Amino acid sequence: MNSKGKKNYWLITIATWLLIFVAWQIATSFRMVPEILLPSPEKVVSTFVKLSEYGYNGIPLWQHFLITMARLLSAVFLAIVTAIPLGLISGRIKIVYSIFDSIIQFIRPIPPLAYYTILILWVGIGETSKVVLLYLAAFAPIYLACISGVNRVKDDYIKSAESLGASSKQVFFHVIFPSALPDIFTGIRTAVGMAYTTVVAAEMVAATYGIGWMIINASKYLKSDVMFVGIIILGITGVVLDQILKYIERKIVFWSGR
Amino acid sequence: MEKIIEVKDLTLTYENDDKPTLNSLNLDIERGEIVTVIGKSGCGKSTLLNTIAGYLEPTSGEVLLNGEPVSGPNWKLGVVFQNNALYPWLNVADNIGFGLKMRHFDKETIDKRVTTLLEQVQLTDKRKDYVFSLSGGMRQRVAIARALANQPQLVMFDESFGALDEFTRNDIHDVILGLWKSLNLTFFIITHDIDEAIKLGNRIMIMTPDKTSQLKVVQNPYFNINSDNIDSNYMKFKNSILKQII
Amino acid sequence: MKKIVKLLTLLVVFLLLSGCTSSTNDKKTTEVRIGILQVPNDVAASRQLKYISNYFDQEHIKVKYIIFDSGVDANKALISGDIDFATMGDTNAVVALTSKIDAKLVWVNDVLGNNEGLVVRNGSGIKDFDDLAGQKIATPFASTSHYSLMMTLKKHHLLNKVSLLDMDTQDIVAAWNRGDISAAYTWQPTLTPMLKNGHFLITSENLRDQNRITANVTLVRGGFERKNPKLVSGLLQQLNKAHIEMQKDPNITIKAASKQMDLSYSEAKSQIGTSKWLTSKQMVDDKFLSETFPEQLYITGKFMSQQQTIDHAPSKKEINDFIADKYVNELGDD
Repeated sequence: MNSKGKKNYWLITIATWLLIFVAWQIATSFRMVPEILLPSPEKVVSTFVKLSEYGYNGIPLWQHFLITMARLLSAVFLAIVTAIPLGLISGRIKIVYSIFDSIIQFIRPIPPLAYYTILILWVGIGETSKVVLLYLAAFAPIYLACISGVNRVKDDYIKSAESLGASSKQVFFHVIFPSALPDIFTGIRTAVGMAYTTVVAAEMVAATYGIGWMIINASKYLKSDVMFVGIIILGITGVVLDQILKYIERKIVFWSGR
Repeated sequence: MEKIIEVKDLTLTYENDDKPTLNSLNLDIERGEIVTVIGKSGCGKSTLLNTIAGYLEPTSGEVLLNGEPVSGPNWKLGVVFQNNALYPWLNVADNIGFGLKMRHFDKETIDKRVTTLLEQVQLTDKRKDYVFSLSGGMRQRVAIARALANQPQLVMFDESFGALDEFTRNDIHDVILGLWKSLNLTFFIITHDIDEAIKLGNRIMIMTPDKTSQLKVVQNPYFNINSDNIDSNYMKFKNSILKQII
Repeated sequence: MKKIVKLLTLLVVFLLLSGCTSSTNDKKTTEVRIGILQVPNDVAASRQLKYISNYFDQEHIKVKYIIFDSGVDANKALISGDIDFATMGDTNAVVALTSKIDAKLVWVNDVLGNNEGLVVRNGSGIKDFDDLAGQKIATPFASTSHYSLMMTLKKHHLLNKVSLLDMDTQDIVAAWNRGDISAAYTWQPTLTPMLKNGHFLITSENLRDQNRITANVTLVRGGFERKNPKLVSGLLQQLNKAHIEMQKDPNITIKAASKQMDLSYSEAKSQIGTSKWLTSKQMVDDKFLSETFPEQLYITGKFMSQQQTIDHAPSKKEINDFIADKYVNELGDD
């Protein structure tokens, strides 16, 4: 019963995509929409092939893709190594929490583009400003997840560790950290999502490569086929990234939810 | 008999509370005995356990362990919680060996002791299993083994068997009494089940809501009673306890 | 299955809706929307001198001005039908042409002079074009500046030897002030602060003298043009007045443009620089709009397609269809 139900939902998902594709095909082959607004599937595919073969603006497509991923992943990596310790400590020590929490709560809701120009003034137009922008987008979700993870650690976990002879340092590393791991992972996934949605914005200023830059550059010349290729690449990559993270999550925090 | 725990004039008032939860309370626990504490929920029995275990600091009075004041949680005072508090990211063996690892025992000693304990709680085949795949009774046995691994002076149970079904609970009672006999242990068991208090306690302490005489110690003629031997005298004894609780 | 039916219905509704947007409405035009650049040009002057408002008042039509930072966004607004006229650099007009936007080029606002140019930082060691090799040069992509820069780089065989940065004009100033870049091809008013510690290596006036003309042009949305040719002529007549005035007595025009843009007279004067405001008569007499300028667009298109910035080079016929010179011809001797 259950597995059958699951199968049906899969079918609906596939049917939805097929329908979108058919609608796209119909809308373009009967010229219901101008090509500049909606290029045909064939055109998008052939543009993809062309871009893969000859690159965009003299740079191969895979290099655009890799540089975007490198920016994204290095920002997320930096966010992970800084936000996790700070978040865990903030969750445990009130003074640290009081110092950092208000700052992070202040920055968190601001759309990254709002402070991007200032960032550029501060750190310049190079890779730094791009990575910092993505980093700022990724930091808060991990930090907040750590705090909530620490706050949700069962009191009995800590008490039994103490009664078993663990020092407060051992409690932190052997109980609080693993206990908060499922929350931390949720935070990391949100962070990747946040950084990912900022990636195009990050490549808007003074970039010379990257998928986001390619989309923006193509928009300046109204090349909607290239924009579509870029958007589809970003969409698929987003889904794949999330699946990879989910897989890692299942492997590392295998106990979560059981 | 040698006193392991001495509680002297123990008073504990929670912050923002005007009345003390524990009021000038005295009790001793002697080596090799099982003391059960019975009382209604909210009467302060968990507070008592938390204070003896060092989780709470007395407002006045003191708790002595072998004559020394208890200043905080201590490996010599083992605790088994109601929801067992086992770590889901560790397997059964690592859960049991947790305390020893924290205390920097070498791997070999830990392995040896874990093996013995697994035998004693009859879980040898579950050594590498994770806690979430075990039944409630098995988990509670792992929790007991974990508390015993440090070879503490006293093991305390905080309503540890309340969530288990009748049969599983009987099994656990047998495990407890078996360990007690073979290893000469000292237990301090908090429960809200009168039958459990009678079956497991050499001495039963009744915590009453009456604050002037908080603890009433009753000598227990029915210790380790087999359920087949329950007679009308047993029922009378049980009723007399019940009356004092209310 | 029900869900699929629902989806299908949604799809049909979507298709119908998208079909509707392209259908024309037959209502009388009551408002004209003009996309403008924030520069002291002929539109600014004729706005200040009330040429435009007087004319449209008389036609009982409201005028709405929408500022665009670049022709890129103006093009997008032309596609979506949010504006009727748009002033932009001729490179963006080429983009509009090759991407088959329904629009016509009807006016040349100004032929660029030293109000666009390549500035290099004093003391950066860049003395000649060859010194540009290995440098970062910023310019707003798809703009006339970008094109002029590329032509210059090509001429000096530097195309793959520099790294080009696509930046908006205000970002260029910021990067210049930080010292991130030591060269940029851009336009006024951005040039003024940069020239304080920099100097021109080349300007669009030099390029103009080498017969590489760049210009700001006005496009009209196709739907609007077919329906209201009279209004197109009317507007161009007002702009032409400013051009005539400019050549007779530039002071009045520059003053008007400066007032409109909230600039001082001297600021406006330097921003206009040596750009040329050709009158309709000059455009006709010199065959500017019928021969000279189409030829320039042809060269521009060919170059841009070689750079793969547009997907094909527009043919001469495409260009001639794109330029609706009949309005300027009508104005002729006015």
